[in-house]
Amino acid sequence: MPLTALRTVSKPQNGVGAFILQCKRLDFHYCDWAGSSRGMNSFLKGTLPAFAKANPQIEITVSPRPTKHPVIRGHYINGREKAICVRKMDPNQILQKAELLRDASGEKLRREVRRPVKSLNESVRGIWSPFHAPIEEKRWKI
Amino acid sequence: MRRLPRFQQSIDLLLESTGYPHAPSTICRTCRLRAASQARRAAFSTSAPRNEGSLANRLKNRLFKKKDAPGTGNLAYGVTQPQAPEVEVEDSVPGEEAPREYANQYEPASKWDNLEWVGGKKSKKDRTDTREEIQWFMPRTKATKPNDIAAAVRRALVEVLALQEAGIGFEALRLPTVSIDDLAADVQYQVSGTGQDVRLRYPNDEVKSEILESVVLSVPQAAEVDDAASFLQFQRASAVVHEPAVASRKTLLWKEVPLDPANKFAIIKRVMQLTGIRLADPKIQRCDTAGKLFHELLQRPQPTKLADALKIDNELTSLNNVTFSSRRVGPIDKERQVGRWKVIERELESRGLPVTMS
Amino acid sequence: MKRARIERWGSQLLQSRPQGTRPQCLYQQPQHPQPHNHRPQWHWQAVRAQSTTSTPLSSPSRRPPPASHAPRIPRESLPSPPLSAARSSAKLSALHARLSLPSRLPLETLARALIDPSADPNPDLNNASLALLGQDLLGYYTAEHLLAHYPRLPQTVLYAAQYAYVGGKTLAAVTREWGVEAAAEPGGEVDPGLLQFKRVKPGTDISGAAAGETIGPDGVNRSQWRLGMGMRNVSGDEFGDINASGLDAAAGVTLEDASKTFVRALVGAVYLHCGQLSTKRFYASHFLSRQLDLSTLFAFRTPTRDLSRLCAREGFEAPVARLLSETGRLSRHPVFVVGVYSGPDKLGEGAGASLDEARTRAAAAALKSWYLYSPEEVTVPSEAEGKGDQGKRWVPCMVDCGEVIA
Repeated sequence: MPLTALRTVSKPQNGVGAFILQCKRLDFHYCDWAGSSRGMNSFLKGTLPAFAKANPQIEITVSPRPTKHPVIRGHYINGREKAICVRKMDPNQILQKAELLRDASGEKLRREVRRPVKSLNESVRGIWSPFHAPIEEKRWKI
Repeated sequence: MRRLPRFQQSIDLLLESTGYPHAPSTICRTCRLRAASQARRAAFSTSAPRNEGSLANRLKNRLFKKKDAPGTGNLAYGVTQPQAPEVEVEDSVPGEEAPREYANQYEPASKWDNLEWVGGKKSKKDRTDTREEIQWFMPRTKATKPNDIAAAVRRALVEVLALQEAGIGFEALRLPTVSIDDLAADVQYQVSGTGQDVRLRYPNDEVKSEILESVVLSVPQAAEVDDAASFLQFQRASAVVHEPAVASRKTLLWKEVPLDPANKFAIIKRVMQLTGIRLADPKIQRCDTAGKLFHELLQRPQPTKLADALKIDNELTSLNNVTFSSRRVGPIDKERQVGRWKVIERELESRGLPVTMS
Repeated sequence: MKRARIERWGSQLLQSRPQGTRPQCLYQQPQHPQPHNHRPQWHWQAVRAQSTTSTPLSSPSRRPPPASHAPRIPRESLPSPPLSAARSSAKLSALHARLSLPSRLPLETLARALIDPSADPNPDLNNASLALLGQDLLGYYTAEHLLAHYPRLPQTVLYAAQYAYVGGKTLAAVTREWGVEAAAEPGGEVDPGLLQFKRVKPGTDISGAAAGETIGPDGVNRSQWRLGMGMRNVSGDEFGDINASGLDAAAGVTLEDASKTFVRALVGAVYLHCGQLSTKRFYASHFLSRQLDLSTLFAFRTPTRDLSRLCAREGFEAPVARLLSETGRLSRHPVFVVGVYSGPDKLGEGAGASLDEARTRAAAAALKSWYLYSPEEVTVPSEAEGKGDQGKRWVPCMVDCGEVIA
């Protein structure tokens, strides 16, 4: 056949069409006995309802973890998990941590200095090529 | 706790009389304060009496130049009463052997045949029979419904006020035999202009007589009287409140009835007997009307577990993306959610292996 | 343009059949169904109606019998969770919100879309019928998009592009990106927000080769024959594939197949509950927004020959390859930049390590520029559907005369 096709899979562009929040689940673990869980307990009673209402796309579970420090565990769509121990924090700080987990993607934290912007589209202005430079003085003799 | 030495007492008296802020500068502030508190504590000491030949007592005797100086006696009972008060000791019941004589005949047993069993061995049935004879002060379960609590409060009000008007003491109010909840709803409360004197006003004589009978029946003193009928008549006569409706007397709702110190404790005790709810003292102090008492009784105790507190939170329960668990979510729970646990169980059972450690 | 009567066919899936013809429900719903996380002394989950106006889709078959006659059946013995569990599943509600599904789509239908036929064979409770509708819808919307926007796309590339947008692997990737997890084993106690299907045993041959011979419609065994385009056009599915799946539902399905069925079922459910407009919006936001570079799908064999045939057909001057620039001809890494000209017009340009390679690439680039032509103003057929002024004014799409076949 003169022409065959290569089968591929199209690449997702989250946010171009629909936006899918990467955090799909948040587990809140507390303890009835531990003093370090006091802030978490009052967060669960006071602040969690508003947080859960504002983020209906996150599945939130609340369960005790006796004799352990309180912890928030986030599960992400790429399969990874992130956990933050919120021992001895007050409810505002715990809310900040919950928002941090909600806003994170599941990727590992890494320092990206080389390429701050990643895109599937090629550059608009094009990349200079020595073979397409004008014949005038800019062109290198090759 | 070891008592501090008492030979400082003269110094304490000196310090107290002069006023310790101006005490001699040779004594440090800590010792001054300690001395002041010790002087205050001395009169209420409950520890064992000291030896009379101690240094402190000898000093005291020398100071006062007499044998039994004040403060040398048994201070546990106060300075003016150095000896313990005499307590009447009941003589042993005649017919029983004195313990000393019995001690000679005691012989430890080697087998337990024919010995008396104490506790434990009785069957549950036997135990419940004896249990029923016990008269509980309060019901074992607390009343929770507002209607029941309101009925109990009204009934207590009527009973106590009726007794108060009749001049009978409250101490004998026992567990009820006749319920007057429906009748108590009909009784009206009238208060005088000053708001102090609350009297009952019955809708008709029948109601009044039934209430009084139930109240009287619950008073055991009536059983002792030979002529119950005359006693009843006396009650009725003294409890009649057929005063002409004075302009100064206004009718109250049952919640507005004030609780006087004279009858407050009786009412609360009666409510306790009927509902099983015990109120703490600060709460009792806060109630000065029946309505406030009712409100305090309605208060349910705060849940000790967070899971229980979250369960009753309506805002949280209405959210459909939130799941709660009152138990720790373990590995078996996670396997169950995913559907793998039944497979694991089946395979373990087919191999004859234990499924869980328990 | 007349509206396709899909909604009428689809409504058959929604209407409740009379009592006599309904397949017997395989179980009786217990009186107080216990959630899977139940210990005797606990446990209580959030229960809330997601939308007061929503009506459950398959409720007639799930309505519980009178409580006095209902024996208590453990949930593990059920093939799939009861519909009542859909309201109390946080995972399901979160999925509904995460995909920004219209509120008219009830949670029960979303739960049904997650149940594969291999998990529950009851056609009222699994997603087979919804998936059928969804598959057609997805294929229709993708095909019209590609054909209207790229009228000159060759058939094979069209099939590959269709697969890249809505094929099996893509839909499996979409399921993962949506955060849908799969249950390990289907059952009544499983969370309704999980994708439930019976997993195929490891080691099973899924290639379909063991399925037996592929007998064509004329009774001829073509399994050893080379698959031509004609055969694919006639007997293939929307991706040009002809394969008996080789597995029956009882043996189980792969995760990819189950994900495929779920996504299709969801599209079908959105169409049935919310209508064409919502479905198109859903499709555009979740599928068309995906990036696909069509120029990477081409694999030429003899592009120079194809280009000269094309120029001859179209009446252009014969293509000539000209060297534009070069460097390092005698070195180990030369670079030649060649342009293919038809008269004064440059059709394409390519760079390569040899003159032949550069010319081949240039011819391939020229052919791609021909095949990937896209008109500016395009009206797709589904946009023009609707009565009166609802649809856009229909402007006929460009239809190409065909491929350049050597």
